[in-house]
Amino acid sequence: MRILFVVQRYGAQVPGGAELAAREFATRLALRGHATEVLTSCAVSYVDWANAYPPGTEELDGVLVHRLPVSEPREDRIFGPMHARVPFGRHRVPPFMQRDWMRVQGPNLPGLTPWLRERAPSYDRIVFFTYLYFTASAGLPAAAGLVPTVLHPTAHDEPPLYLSLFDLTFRLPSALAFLTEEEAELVANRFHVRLPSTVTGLGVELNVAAAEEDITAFRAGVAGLGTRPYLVYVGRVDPGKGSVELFDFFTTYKRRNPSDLALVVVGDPVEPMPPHPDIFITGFVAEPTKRAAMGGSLALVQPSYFESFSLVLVEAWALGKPALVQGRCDVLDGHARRSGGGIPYRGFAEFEAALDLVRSDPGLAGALGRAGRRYVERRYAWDRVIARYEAFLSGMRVPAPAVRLEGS
Amino acid sequence: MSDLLERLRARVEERRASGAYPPGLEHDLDVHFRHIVEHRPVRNLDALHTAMATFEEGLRFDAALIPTGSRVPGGQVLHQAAAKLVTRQTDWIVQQLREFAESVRVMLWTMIATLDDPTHVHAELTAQIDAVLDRLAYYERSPADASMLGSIVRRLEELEAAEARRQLRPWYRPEHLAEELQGSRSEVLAAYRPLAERFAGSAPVADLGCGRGELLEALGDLGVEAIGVEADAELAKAAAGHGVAVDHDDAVRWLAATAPESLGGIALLAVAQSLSAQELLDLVTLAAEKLRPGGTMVVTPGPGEGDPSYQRPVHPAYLAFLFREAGFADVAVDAGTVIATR
Repeated sequence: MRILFVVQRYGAQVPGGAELAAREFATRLALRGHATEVLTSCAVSYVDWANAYPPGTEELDGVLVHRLPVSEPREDRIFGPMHARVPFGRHRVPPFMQRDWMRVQGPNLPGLTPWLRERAPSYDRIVFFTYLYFTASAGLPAAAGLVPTVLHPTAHDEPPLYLSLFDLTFRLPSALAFLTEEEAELVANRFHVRLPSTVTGLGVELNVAAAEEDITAFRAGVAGLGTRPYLVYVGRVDPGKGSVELFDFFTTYKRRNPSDLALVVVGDPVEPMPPHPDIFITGFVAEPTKRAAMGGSLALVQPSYFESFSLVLVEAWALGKPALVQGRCDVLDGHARRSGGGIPYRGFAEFEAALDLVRSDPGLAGALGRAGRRYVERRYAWDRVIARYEAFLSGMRVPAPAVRLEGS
Repeated sequence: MSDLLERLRARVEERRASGAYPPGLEHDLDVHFRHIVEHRPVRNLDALHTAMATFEEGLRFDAALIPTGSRVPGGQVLHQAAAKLVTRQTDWIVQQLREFAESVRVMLWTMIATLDDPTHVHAELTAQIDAVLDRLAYYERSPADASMLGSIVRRLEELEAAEARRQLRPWYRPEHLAEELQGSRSEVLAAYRPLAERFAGSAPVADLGCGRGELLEALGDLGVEAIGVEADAELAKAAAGHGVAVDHDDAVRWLAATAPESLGGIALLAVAQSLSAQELLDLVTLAAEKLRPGGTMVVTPGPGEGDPSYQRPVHPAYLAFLFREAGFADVAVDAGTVIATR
């Protein structure tokens, strides 16, 4: 099959769950012999969408990547107030204002629609990643009807999902692909769509382990951590990801339960945590260091309210680590209940009780970690995920109209 | 997992009961969560449940609850006697009230359960909106009637295939045909020398359909700057091989792209017969625009039906008419050759 992935950012330097998922699927399908291409922006950062890569076509890990330049960067001076008013405002806003918000949010790619209109029919499948950005919002109407299309919404239960702007976006693709059952349910409840769909999940490397010497090196590299037991948080330090709640819960726990327990935070700070003697912030680290940080921890804590999959949780389980997860996020709660590998908590009292259980009962912590590992082996081994995905793509029905009249 | 969660929640309840959480602690630590997720549509039926609890409390209909006390001396005895006298009627009314209250209670709980159901979303309205959105999506996905478009596409493909069959794709070398029809290059060169002399002082000269480039060579020999335009790639290459300047292009397109009044001469030798009627008209109009005042255009007849690209005979009288109509100042016909001066 000739498959095109359309995603807002793409590249080795690009962080972000949805972008990483798109890259993994594209690269692995290319490895299985499919002619895989990507249409994306020249940006690395979603904060300003500044053009960082040169426009044009390059090959990356067997995938042909077409980059379009962003015509204007996102200006927080304009986007900030608009974002507060449109998806986060108290009142519904009219469609024209929602479209303005989408344009200002970016990435603004004037070349995207003509590119797709001209070349879409030459692909067998076009896969869009993330419902939220211009790439899907403008790209799907351009490609729909010309070729079978798939939308991976990577949807969270977040305010933008409730904008009427997206009512049509979710009805245009030929099929929907979800990362978890909870994401599928969220979309079904919000949009009432009746499209073919699948739950793909995301694959994870299972032949991984955190070597003792790596863990020792990690501890040595974090000044003041020493041999203290610690919880680890991996991800963006962002209030939307639950970082403020985690800080409040952890520091309150420490006040009420004095001990040498620490919290290690691994990730880029969008909104930094206040300094605290029991909290160690490493910033963004390379993959082996991240693995060592998780491997040496007592447990992973995943406090995010908005997740469509949570790769980091699955990675911790692949390492056999237990987890404390935000029970108010359906996706994390679902993972924890299905796997038996993590304790979902709702509010501080349950967080405290869950942490007490994990600290006081090493047998329980070990059993949770093993259950998590079994869950990942059963569901998220890459060869299984990609085989399921390939079967889904090849089984899609080809739409009847293969032509679009210009200007229609 | 469910056992573990039960244990966890039981522990939390015990702690709450023991006052382990200071008042306001849990609420204060939840502020951030409430702020972040306040957009989530929550069905809050708390007020209804409270009202129902009060309602349930009040469902105690009993004749024994009718007070019989009195501050009037002997009043209590009187009340009790009166109550006893109407016991049958009172019991019957109380019974009716109980039955009525029970039916109201059942009805209210049914209504609350319906409201509480997460799927209760005004189904008819939602279904109508969904139908509109589905229809919109259908139109977005299917820009026009699919079967009609399919038949148009098939027809277009057939026409394109038929057109491709009509196009001339010679397997012989065009240079050989030119030699066959017009004579050897040296013969043609000799024949063109007098023609080239007409362009003396008219540089730059464009030779449209220059073929093997004989006229260009003759003009070069006279020191007249000239450029050839040839649509046949092989002939253009052959001409360039003789050291003359040649553009591989369509004559009409080339002339249209040339700057106004930038040419001193235009030659159209043995080419007019191969142009469509409209192309010939366009060429004359363009020549009038691109020649500077005093510039000359020379058109000679071709080899006629012997040429496979031959389309129609072009009579010199018709050509002369066209040049005059296009505003050329002087038009002459000399043995089939038309010479027009702007």
